[in-house]
Amino acid sequence: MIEITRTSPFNTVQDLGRPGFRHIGVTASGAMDPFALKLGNALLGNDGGSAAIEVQTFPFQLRFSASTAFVITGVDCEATLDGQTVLPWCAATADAGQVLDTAHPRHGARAYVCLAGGVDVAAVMGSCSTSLRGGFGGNGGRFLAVGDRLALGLANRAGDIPPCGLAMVEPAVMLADVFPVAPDGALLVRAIPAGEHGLFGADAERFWNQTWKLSPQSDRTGYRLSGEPIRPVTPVEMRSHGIVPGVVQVPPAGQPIIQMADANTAGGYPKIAGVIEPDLWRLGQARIGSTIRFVQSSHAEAVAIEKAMNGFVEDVRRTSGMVKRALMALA
Amino acid sequence: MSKMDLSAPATIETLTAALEAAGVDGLEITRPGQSLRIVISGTAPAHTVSVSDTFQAKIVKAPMAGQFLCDLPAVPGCQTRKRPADTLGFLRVGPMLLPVKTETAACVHRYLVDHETIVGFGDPIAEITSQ
Amino acid sequence: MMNVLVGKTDTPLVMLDRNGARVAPIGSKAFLLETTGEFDLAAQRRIWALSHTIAAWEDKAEIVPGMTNLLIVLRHTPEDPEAVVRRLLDAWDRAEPIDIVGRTIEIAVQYGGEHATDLAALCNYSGLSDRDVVRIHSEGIYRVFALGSAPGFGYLHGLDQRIYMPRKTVPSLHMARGCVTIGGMQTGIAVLTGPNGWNSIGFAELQMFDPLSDTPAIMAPGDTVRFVAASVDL
Repeated sequence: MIEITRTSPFNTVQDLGRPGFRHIGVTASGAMDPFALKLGNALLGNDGGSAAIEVQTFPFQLRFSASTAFVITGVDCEATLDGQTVLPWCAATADAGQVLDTAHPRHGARAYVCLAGGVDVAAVMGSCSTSLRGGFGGNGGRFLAVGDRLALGLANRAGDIPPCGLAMVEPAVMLADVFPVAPDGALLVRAIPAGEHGLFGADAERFWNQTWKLSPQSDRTGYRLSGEPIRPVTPVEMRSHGIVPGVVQVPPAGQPIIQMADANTAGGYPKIAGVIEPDLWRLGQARIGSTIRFVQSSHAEAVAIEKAMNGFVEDVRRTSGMVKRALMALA
Repeated sequence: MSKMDLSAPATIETLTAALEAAGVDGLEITRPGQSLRIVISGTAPAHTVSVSDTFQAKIVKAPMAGQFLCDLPAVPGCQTRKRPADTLGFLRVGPMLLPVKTETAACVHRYLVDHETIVGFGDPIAEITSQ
Repeated sequence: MMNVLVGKTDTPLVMLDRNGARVAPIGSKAFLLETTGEFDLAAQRRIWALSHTIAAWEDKAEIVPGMTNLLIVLRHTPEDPEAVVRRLLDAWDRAEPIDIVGRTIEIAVQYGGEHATDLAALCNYSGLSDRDVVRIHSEGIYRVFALGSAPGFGYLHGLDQRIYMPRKTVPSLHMARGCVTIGGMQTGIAVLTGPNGWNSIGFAELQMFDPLSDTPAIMAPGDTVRFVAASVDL
């Protein structure tokens, strides 16, 4: 059991989401950075899709009511456990009564507090994710609040963390070749042209070439971009159709919207592109006011990136298990 | 010289100035009950000085085989992260980093292996001074 | 006729337009098939047929029928996206219209009253009296074309064109769940309280969605919906 002792709005329980219900209008939700969630779970020996706490407003603080292995992934939020530094991407064991505190991260947007056994809330429609729009799932379909107590699932023995802790090389380092960084600091987001790409004429070129800024009207539902407006050559009337996170829609004002984890399930704005799924986690870590540039990609590239990401998660799961066993044998 | 108080600020200042003038990187003096280490570096803080009055060397050994790292690998585009006070480095095994910690607050007196050296189980990694 | 569109780069865009339908990707795992003909029940009946066919595909993760279109989300990113596009269009070519034998859902509506915030505007727009608007709306027989947008929200087709009314340019900020609304040539029932660009003419108590139920949504594509005037408060 853990108790939330300090929080601001917008922090929720999330797992990998509830896909499979878009046809009845239910958004998939789930972690904005599912890669961080998977890596945290792999390190703790949890099931890959165990629920964690997604923290997007800081400071956030919780108290452990029993000895619990945990890890913070996603960002460095200068966490402390009873005042002692806790590194991000480094699993440790908290004693009963200890307080985990976090501060606003300098880079990135969302921290995942992963706990051995996972957050044990009742699954609704197959998932523990909070659906804020629908008001169900997670912790009563709402943001976490001070005083909330969350039960944890049964920890797997593979979750035993050595007394000195166990860290991983973070994905930005480990997969630096797979996720290149632009010299000017803009996030490079790979995308595939979508249905109405051709209708934007010369503006399509400007879509790919310019650097866009994430506007303050950006949240788990979607990111609004600001920059030089782009518009179709002639106005288009679209019929409502299903959409997925990553779709880049262009409303009449010409400032694109990227749908994110809490994406609407249907849309009707012209679509200029779709972000490849393996790059969505990086968008999930993009901050309001930061800049992005779209890079034209392909399915083949997406397949290669996914392969590298899945390989990394598997490597963490396998090697962390091996290190834990070796230390126990040598002790 | 044998009467010199190594912890006196005036002594440290004199020695530091002499080292800088000589273009020497650092100096280490160890005597029973006292030790002084001055490191000259190009960026602030200019001098890292650690003086301990009751010097007791202790060897930290590798808890398992791996590649020894003094610091966390640098993240492209981010500032280097400070390692916690009780962590003197990490053993890298594939994608994993095993923190090498000291039991109590201590400072690294001397690393016995270079950054990125492969070490075996039980190999000495560092000499620490506890107070 | 087959028309492969080629982008400005050397990478060919993965899009095809053929025999009244076109397919384009949305990101790496999803593909949208849109019919290019009339917006009518005939096209929707072929979409239902297509949905039925591809439900058997091993590599499909989700199928989301829309308004004369269909989104398929695959389990894995395809190595050969052109093959997926061709396979979808082949399935479309073979799709014979089917009629889903759905349920008939009768929904009691309180026409007028505090929730009918846009009834007066609809009367102005249509030139009809409020009584006529209510009569025409409640006499209609509607089909659920698709669900989407919000949990359990059904897009209803079959609105009498005399009471078509465009969506608002400035949405109502706090429309209540249960409002019976008209948006363009469609009608529906608001399933969430919040911003809404459709025009409200009444209110229904019936809860359209229950996340804890085995069948969370009351409506399903193909269902017939009738609105019964439980009260008229004009």
